[in-house]
Amino acid sequence: MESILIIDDEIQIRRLLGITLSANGYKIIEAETGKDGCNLAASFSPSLIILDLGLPDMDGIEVLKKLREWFQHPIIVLSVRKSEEDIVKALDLGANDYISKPFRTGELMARIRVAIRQSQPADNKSLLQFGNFSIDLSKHLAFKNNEIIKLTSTEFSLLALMAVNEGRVLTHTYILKEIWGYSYLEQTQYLRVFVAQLRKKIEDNPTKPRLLITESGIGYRFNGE
Amino acid sequence: MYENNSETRNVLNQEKPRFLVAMGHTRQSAGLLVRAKQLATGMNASLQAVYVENTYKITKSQRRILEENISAAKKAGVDFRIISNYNTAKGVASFAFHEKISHIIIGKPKTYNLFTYLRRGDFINQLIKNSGDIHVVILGAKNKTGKGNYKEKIVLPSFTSKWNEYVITTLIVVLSTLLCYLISDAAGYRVISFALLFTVSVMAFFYGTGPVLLASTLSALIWNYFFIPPHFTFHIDNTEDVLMFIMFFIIALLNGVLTSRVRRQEKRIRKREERTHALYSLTGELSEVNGMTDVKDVVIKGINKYFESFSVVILQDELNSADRNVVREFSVEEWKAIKYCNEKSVKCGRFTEICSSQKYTFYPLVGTQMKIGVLALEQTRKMTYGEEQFLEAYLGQITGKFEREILRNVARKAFLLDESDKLYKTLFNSISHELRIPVTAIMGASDTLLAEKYPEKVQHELLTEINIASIRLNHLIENLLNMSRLESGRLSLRYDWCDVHDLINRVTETLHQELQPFSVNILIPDDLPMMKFDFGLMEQVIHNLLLNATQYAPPGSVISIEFGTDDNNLMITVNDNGSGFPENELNQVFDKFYRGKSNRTGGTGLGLSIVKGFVEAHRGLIIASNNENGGAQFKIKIPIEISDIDRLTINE
Repeated sequence: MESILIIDDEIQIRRLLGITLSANGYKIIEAETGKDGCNLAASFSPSLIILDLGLPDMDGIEVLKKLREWFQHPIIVLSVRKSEEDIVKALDLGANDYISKPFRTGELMARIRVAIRQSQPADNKSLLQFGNFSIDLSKHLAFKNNEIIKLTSTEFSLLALMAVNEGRVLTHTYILKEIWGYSYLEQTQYLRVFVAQLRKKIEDNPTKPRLLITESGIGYRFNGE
Repeated sequence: MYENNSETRNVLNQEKPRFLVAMGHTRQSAGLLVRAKQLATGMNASLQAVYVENTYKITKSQRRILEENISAAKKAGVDFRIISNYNTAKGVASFAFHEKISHIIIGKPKTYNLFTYLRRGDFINQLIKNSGDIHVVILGAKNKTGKGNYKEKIVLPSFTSKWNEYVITTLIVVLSTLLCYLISDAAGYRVISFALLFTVSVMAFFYGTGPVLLASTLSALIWNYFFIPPHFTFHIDNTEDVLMFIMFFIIALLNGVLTSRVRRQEKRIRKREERTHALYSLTGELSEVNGMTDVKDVVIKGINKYFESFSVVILQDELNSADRNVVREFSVEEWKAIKYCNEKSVKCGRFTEICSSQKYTFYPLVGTQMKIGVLALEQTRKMTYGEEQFLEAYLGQITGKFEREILRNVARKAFLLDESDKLYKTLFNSISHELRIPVTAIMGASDTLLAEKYPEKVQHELLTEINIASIRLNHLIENLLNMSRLESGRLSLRYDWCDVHDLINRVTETLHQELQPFSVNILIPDDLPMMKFDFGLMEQVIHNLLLNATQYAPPGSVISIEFGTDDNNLMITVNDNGSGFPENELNQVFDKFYRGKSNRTGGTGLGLSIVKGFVEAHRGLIIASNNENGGAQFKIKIPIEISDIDRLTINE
């Protein structure tokens, strides 16, 4: 049974998460402060940590940094809306995903599932299938309705990066670093132009993307479901 | 000072005589002023004083006496005006007409000689001739000061030109002589005389009296020496030529002197025009700025420009709070003088009688209703009376502006206080209502769920109610947070490249449920480039506009949103098929807590005012109107940086 550590000072949130997660078959460990959280993470080694960024005793970002010194499993951060800067910071510091309060529990469960799945050793599939859309990583090819989509090499790299991390949000900085390298970290304009181009080629309706989802102010998420 | 007052008083009080005393730059004038004042008081008349600047130059000592007379007049509470006119009598008369004067008072000349006869006698005659039905009173000047033997000296034009002007005029004469010498054989010496006269006249336009006199004398002598036969002697053979020479001399002299006098007059007029212009442009500049600091900047810049002096404005509150920044610029002594100047409302500091050892001259800025502060002016030389008069007019403008500004602030503060009070009440009523409804729904539904085991269908319905209520609560909190962000004034925009498609997708997704009953028409041109704006704020703008439409338009109708560009502006138009706005409420649409009559679901009335706030934060504009279908239309125009990267031509 997967265990999840919840680090949040609000009892009502802990209770809600406890009920929801237990009902979905997870074992729950609760911590009220950042310090307790770190200790409990060390003694229980949970499969996933849900970390609130607004903690009374220490900054959530600090807790994250501390945890990431040794903790390998996924961490999902909880934050209030409109704090994109904090979210991006947390993601760049190694958080696997984020969800803002108030959140829909269904969405949270999906994020948890994705995070846990991705943390497990990958089976190195070279063919990724998403409905009528598929990607052959070894052959550098993408198909829609079994037809090859013509992609430039940068477009393919971008698509592959997004698809491999399916369900997980990738920050602008992360994508730019992975595809273009360190000297392009500020060029979000390029990224947006490429995403727009890519959408035109892979999406059924590029104006209403279903695969490449924008997370405003943060980055992109590949939605494979 | 009722003497100052304009015609209105005169109209109201026709019988009251208005006296005008014509002042000069002599000590007798001071006595005349005293007697005129006595006369005016005795006859219950108002009194003004006037001095006419004409084309005669006055000496330094005369100027000093004039200034003494001016300050004497001011002390006696008499308005003193300096006007400019080539003819003193005409100047006095026209001023008297303009000011609706009943009696002109002039002094009796003390001494008589040919010169005073020519000047004064002519003055009296001309004044009588020009003054129409205004009475002219001639008072004998009684001398109490014992300086009665002061004799008016005949004043020659003073030679104030620089030495290099003498050199230049001499050179020009020499040069023209050389030219004339070349043509003298062909033209004859009489023609030469005209050429030389011409040179002198032309020079009179550019140089002062002294150089021109020198030039005319020189050219007369040159003409005699070089051109009148016998050549190279001052001897003249021909009697006719002797007359010619004398006439040449006289014409050259007159020419020079008269022209330079005209020039002086012209210079004065030009100076006056410059001042008028300066005042005019200051008024213009002042009317364009608002806020104390901006006004202060304009004032200091203006004084710097027109008086070429460094100045500091110390306002009343700075005086009281003794703001360290202001204080640091002044020494303790200066600070004392500033306080004195402000308290007593008198000019002090350099070139005055009080605290004259200071670096600055301090002028009190006193408005009609309050003291504004002090202007400290660092001047290198004493101002002439004209300059002083100009500065006073200037300060008048400044004081007026400051006063208006202060009064406006007071009014605004009162208004804001009133508004915030009103706002608080409305907020309280509106918010508590808006909060209570969803909380009631949540409490009620969850209570029911907890109390008994209902059939699954009922359970589901109750849970849906809870869900809807929580969404509504969340929306309210979102709006309140946004409002407080706007109100705090610390809204900082995070401009980033955005795709309008992302924007609209995001909004339609979050409003999925609300938009369900409508047919939503989204129009985005294919070639719409990427733009820079704050995604979060613009999302809220579109969100609130669409949500607003869903609340007012009948279900099943079309809600359309169109994006486009116009130059470097993003244009957004939202239309619905609701009942639109009542015409008389169009300008209140964006007011806080405004709610349309046909609103179905309540709402705080904050949505649209947030929209406006966020659009304006982007330096944009939003207009609400009714479209041809009678529904509401919102038009947004936001200046925007547009991506120069064309998504189709990008190379890898």
